[in-house]
Amino acid sequence: MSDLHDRVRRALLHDNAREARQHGTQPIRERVPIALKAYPELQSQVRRSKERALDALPRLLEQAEARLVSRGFHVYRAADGAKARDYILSHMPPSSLVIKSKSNLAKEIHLPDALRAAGHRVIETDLGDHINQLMGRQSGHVLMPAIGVDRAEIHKTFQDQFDEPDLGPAPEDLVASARRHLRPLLEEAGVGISGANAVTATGEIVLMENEGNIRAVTSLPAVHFVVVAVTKVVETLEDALRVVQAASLYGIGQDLGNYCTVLAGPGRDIGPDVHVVLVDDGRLAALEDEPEPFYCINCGSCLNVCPVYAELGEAYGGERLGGIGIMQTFLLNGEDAANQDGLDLCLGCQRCVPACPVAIDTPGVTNRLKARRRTVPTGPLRHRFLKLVHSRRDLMWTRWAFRTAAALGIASRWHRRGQKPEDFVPVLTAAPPLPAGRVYTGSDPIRGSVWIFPGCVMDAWYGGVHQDTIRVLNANGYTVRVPEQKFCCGALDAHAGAAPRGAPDWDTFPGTDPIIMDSAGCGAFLTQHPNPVSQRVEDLAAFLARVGFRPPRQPVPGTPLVYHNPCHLAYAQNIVDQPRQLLATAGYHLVDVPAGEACCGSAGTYNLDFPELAWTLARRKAGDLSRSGAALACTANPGCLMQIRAGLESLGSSMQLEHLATLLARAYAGGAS
Amino acid sequence: MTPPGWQAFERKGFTVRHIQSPVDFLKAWNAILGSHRGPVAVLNDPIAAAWLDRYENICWIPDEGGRAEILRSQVGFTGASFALADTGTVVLAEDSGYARMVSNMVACHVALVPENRLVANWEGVLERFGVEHARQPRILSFISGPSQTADIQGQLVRGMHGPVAVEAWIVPAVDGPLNLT
Repeated sequence: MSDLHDRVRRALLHDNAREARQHGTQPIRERVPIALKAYPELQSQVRRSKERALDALPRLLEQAEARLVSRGFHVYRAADGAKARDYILSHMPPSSLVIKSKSNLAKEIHLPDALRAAGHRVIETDLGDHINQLMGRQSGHVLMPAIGVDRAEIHKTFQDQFDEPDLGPAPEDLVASARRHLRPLLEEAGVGISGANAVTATGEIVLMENEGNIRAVTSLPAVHFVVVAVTKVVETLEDALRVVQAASLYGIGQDLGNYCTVLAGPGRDIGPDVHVVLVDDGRLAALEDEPEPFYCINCGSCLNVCPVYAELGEAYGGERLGGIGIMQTFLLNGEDAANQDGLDLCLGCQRCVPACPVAIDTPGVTNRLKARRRTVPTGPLRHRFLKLVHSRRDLMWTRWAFRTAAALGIASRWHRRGQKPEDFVPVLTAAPPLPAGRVYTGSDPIRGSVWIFPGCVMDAWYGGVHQDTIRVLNANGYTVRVPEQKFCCGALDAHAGAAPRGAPDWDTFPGTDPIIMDSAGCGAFLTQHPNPVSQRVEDLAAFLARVGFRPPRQPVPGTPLVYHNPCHLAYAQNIVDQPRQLLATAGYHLVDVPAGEACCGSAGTYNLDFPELAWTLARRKAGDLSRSGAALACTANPGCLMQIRAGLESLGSSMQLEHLATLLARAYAGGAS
Repeated sequence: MTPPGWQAFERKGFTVRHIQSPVDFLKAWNAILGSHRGPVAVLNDPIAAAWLDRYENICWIPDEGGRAEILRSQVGFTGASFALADTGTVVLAEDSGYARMVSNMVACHVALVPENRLVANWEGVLERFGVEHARQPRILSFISGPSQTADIQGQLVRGMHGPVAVEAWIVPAVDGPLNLT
């Protein structure tokens, strides 16, 4: 694992690459939600079509092969990468000039290397891939391969390698130069190699692009090889066109790529002889195990929203990038490869799930895969922390240690240092844990009664937030009951890839009253994982918004406030507007914050395993919040509280960060803190 | 002025011209040759043939030239089987393979789109093929603007490998086969 940690540390040093990535992905993040408004059904349609296809894949593959052959294609099913390479090499004239369009699979099976070793010349024709080829670097994104490359570096490379010393630095100049340089190669090449976005059981190949290189690769040479994973097969042409449309919409916010080509046979009068090479390489077997990662349609949307990818770029992954790629690597190449590629790097923020055109639950599946590992490469600190959480007595003891650390100023000193996992010192509330079995009666007129979910860390360290939650619920006419038994919801173990310890005693919540959560992480876990009470679990903000929030008699007088939406509220539970509405009703004046959607990096116990990355995210988040000009910030999750408070202290910011319940309770108390 | 239903084409970077008479066509022809000097390749499909049969100094594909002439051409004319109103897309359906080459390897591609071929979306195309065609065409090219790339720091630049300029000329209705060649 040390290679992985070194890689993370090195990647965090490359600010230029991070900026370039940000520059490439930010406009896409802005465009996609707008473009998607016209296609509300697309995500569920694509999901269903991929589920159907992979469910019946062996049968569909046979149909596809038969239909492709009847349409005049040569078809070869390769059991593995070596067989695919051999097939292609044996059907190529010697010393060919090969033009290739983007294909992640070709890279996976090391096809370009094999072609070069056999004496062929391979030219990457996608501009991003071509830049990487000239610079000898790896692809940094599935759709935008040269995303992390600075324009000045591209300029210099083109000047040198295209022998155009007077070439201008504008993107238009660089694109025109690449066009001039590549055009003769397109015309000369004898062999074209492309991937495919989809292959249909009715015998069509569907390809999408913006540059026109795929249309050239698939039409100009004498021979064309389509190298495609078996998992790209779908039932019908409708399904395939939905796949490419979803890939454009989610991948770049474009309603259809500029060129979509449907091949239902080689050109009758002109065009190459076409070989379709369907590569299995372990996929059919892996589908039996865990199909979800193979629903992926390679649009790169998950990378564009991933906070880990934003920081690390191609260092998040190996041959396959990001959480989605690492899951595939786990299933195809085993757990050691996946560990090394960074299986543990996923924050579990779930932002990629709604952003995925197939709604792939990358964090959920990643946790399942982590739990299956023979050996758990988690750090000793995380292990100790989890042990602590499961020992109530020890957890209570840490209350005093951490409060003393804060009182003596040790916590803020360590936060200012902010490098190691030990430097994260929780800043706790003063109130003790909730008394088990206690009933807090609501104020008149009574509207009903609810349970509060105490949890583990939340109860031991943030009892004051629980008290505030109870005050707010009471003020809204709800009697709040504390259960007899308190336990961890299980999220911390799941994030860490550890097996759950013991079954929680759900009987401690008798009846049908809602169980109110003031921890976004626990709420997300309990609503998403099967348990007898999942239907009754409801977040505080969602609950108050649903039943109708009683405005405080004396709202706080327009205090400026920034709100940080916890990932597990926003992406995992789709609770976005309710907390803001409650805060506004309570009198706070909400101020916009740059990159408000970004994760703070807490993510359960992530900061113990990847402290450098967690500190980077914490400082970034704290910096964004501070720059808003407000003196007060709000969030709704203990992890975010801990993490962002540490980030604020490390920057020396005087901004106060409080839980939503605390700020609402303050409003009920007449604005007093 | 762009007729209703065709606005998406302009958004996608097409130059849209409404051709209602041979005079309109001649004006458009002169405009295009003014901005793109060089050989002109014309796909011999029923739509392009109807409008360009009296024009000179063009190379009819495949009758008068093939791959070499296409690769040399600056301007390429083709008919269009369909146009999609929602995504601003012209669709070329063919068996021969020439439409794809003419529409991709020139600096400027002009698609002549009969006004009765405008459908709402790609679903509409599949529906028409299902009803009117016994066999699906070998190659369908959906073209939604000029060639472009965002591979240099995310900035969109037109004219990577395919045409730098694309034009959609809306011509009066043409009935007949959906396949171009």
